[in-house]
Amino acid sequence: MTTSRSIRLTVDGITTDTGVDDDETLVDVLRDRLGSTAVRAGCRNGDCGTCTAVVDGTHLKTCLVPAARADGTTVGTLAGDGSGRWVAPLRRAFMQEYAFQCGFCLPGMILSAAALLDRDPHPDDAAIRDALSGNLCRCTGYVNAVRAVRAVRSVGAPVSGHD
Amino acid sequence: MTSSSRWPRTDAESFVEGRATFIDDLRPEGLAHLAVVRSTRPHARITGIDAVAAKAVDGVLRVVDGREARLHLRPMPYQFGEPELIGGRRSSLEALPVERVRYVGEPVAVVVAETARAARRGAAAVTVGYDDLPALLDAGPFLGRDPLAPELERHVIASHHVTAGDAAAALARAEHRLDLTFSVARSTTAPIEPRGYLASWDRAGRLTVQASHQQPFQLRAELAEILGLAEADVRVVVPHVGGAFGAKMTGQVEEPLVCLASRLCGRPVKWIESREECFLGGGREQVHRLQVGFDATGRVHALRDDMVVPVGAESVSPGWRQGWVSAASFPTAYDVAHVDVHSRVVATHVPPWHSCRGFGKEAPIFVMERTMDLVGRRLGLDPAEVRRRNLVRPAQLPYRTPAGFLIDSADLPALLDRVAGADDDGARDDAGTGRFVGTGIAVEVTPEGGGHAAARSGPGVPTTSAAPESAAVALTADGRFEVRTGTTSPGSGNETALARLAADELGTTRDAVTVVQGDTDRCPPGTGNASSRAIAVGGPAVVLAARGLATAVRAAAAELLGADTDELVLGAGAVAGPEGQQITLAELHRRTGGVPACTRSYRPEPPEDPGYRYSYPYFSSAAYRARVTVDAGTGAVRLDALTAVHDCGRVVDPVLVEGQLHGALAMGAGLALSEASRTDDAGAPATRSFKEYLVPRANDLPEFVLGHHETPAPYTLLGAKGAGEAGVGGALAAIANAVDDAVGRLGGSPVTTVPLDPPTVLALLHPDGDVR
Repeated sequence: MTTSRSIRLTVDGITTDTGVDDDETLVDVLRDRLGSTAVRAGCRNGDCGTCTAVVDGTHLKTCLVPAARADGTTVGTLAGDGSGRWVAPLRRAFMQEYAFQCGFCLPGMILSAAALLDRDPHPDDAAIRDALSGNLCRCTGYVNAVRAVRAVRSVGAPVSGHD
Repeated sequence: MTSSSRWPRTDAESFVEGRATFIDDLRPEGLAHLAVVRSTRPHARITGIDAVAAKAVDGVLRVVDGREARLHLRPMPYQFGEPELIGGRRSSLEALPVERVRYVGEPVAVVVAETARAARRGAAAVTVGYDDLPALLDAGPFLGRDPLAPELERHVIASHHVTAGDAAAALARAEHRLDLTFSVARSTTAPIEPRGYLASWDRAGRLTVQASHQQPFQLRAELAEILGLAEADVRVVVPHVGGAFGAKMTGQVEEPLVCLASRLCGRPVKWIESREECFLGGGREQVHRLQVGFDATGRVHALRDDMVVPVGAESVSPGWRQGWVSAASFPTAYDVAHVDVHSRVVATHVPPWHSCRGFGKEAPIFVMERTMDLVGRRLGLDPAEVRRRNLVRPAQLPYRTPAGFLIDSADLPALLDRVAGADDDGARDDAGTGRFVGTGIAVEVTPEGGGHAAARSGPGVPTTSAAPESAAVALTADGRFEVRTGTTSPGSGNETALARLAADELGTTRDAVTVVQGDTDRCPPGTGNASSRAIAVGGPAVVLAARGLATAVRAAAAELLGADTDELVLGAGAVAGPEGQQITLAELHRRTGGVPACTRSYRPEPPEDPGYRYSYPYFSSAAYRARVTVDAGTGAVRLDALTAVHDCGRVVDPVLVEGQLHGALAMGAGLALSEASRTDDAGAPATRSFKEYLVPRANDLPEFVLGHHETPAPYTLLGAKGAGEAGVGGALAAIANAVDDAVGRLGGSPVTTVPLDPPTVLALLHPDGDVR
């Protein structure tokens, strides 16, 4: 395939130059060209949110971002440690509360929760539900995801596992 | 709890760190990609397929149409047991049609290319010529029992008649009678990960298929037959599955086409379904015309129902069987002496049904629960009271239903009592804002475990039996245990519960147990993930195999330690005797050269009854209460509370069970309020993305309140029943009843259809059509 331009992306701390086509979206470049599979494609239409990543500090649905527009950006995914201080405690809380089942929606769920806590470290339940409403989950009914965010909200710091 | 694991799920960390591997994450060397050319007509003769432009698209490797595919592929066999047993005809279809398309979205050719985008471009460049034929989009003419004209009759895939007593006579003498019509919209599964398959062939001609799939062994058998291979020459491997809900069962035409494309191109080929393609499939749609006869106390004596189940185009998938299960599920949780349910399963020119969570059991719950409310309303009886007077009582168990299902265990009145007064937070109508509160209840029984072809037996009627599950348990060289099972996980976490069950038998914790699923080379055969069987049927196979291995390990240790097997105890990582003698499991493995793995099969054990075929072996049950707010101005409904008290027998892992119920409740809420797969007047799907097909989002749902009530299943080893299907129909029915409660007090029409989206609710509130 011919590529029309070269862009530079720093994904989870690793900087890469890659060729992209004009009609490629960021989610496809991250997955297909850079092998970053912690960003997933669920709808390619901005509806499900599992392609969420943190682009220059902003949480975006990467299926809606033309790849060429992302030239020079820094991208954080769920796989990296660079997606903000809330990711580690949210990971633990999502495990502790059994806040996912198939796990396909998790990248978006956790990063959207992190974005909420960045804005508001003590959100009420309605704010948590609103913050997760851009991320579809078909397995859980969201009950445990809300509990997980609530657990991080109350503690504000890493929570421990349980037995 | 025997586990020392930190998290409810054994493999949780790989998911939260984004490392878990799904089908689209697999990119073997030389991978090519497939896209599907789909029909744009609901019913038409194919006059020609022009692929010249497609082959010229940069990166396109190959275009395969039906004429070429039929040179290589045998017809696709029917995929779900014996359709004749339930009055259905056996379909056999070619993967790609040659003469005729039967629905918008039917595959007519496939394009293989270097990249997925090139394949899609190539598919868009294929030109198909059509000569339109008349399309059947409306199954209305099939309602009723009158003989059909021949041109309609050939659309009937199956016809069912479920009877008990004499419904006509009982209706004629009933003190009260209601004539009701209900309908349920077509809806779908919509897993967040769509379907996907990746096929490759080795030099020896052995096929490996990696698939986001529920049934690896069934897929292996299907592919072997279509491709003309021995089953031993096909390996199916299932990576992590991103939700399934029925969509990922066998019989989908892309399954053999990916394999064929890989063989023709000599490269691994992958197909990942697009979201729009994912929305083609669906199920659940049905219309009921029902008469119910009852006395002044609210006791229902007779139920007569005419059903039509439009199942889309005929296919080889399990889809249309759900129509039979719907008919056979009546009268759900209730003891009705005289029943007469007549059902027609009708092929139409929309995409075929696939299995949908609930498998046909959910719509009858909606119909019966609405009916109970309306019977109560006619008599001025409280909804809980009219149910209490009609529920199957514990003393009647095991209870044979008109279709021949045997309800094994339940305490339905107890479940009802536990929800009858739940969740009253004092919310009241607010006429000022136009917001009105409604509450509704529902009772659900869910046939589970496989065996829906239950019926009265008789001369010439073939018998049916339980499908087994198998498991193998082995001691590994490092002193851990490995469970290999024929059940699979669609992402439900059942591997964690299976590890826990094995660990309990092996005197260890679930951390010491690795569960292997979804690999036809490594696992003993099984049914994968269907009919809520993984724990209730797959669990006993694991327990028996682990128990057998534990005995073998202790016997091997006895020999090495010079002790008596009976006095040795298998504990964490070692076998120990009463006098302090001990050998670690790793040491035991090394010195014995390994203990043979123990493999066991298990099938449920309902009592033999020569008068009936095999029934579903266990029935979970539940009661529900929903509270909603209806905005009289906009017709919008907000679900404010949803309570469920669930009986799935012995609960092996409460966290996992509650997770299953949460998901089912959310799906039921979607079916009640927003989810509908619509088709336009020309037969084209009109719900093609999550912008039209409205799956509940986090801020659409309340925090569910759950309770458990355990009546152990008598016919399974562990006493466990299923979890995962119950909740869809129950939530759907309770929410519909809650909306009806509010709408009824406002003088609106009774709720008779779902989903109750704002236009539908406004139409109920303004039956004269005067919506101001």
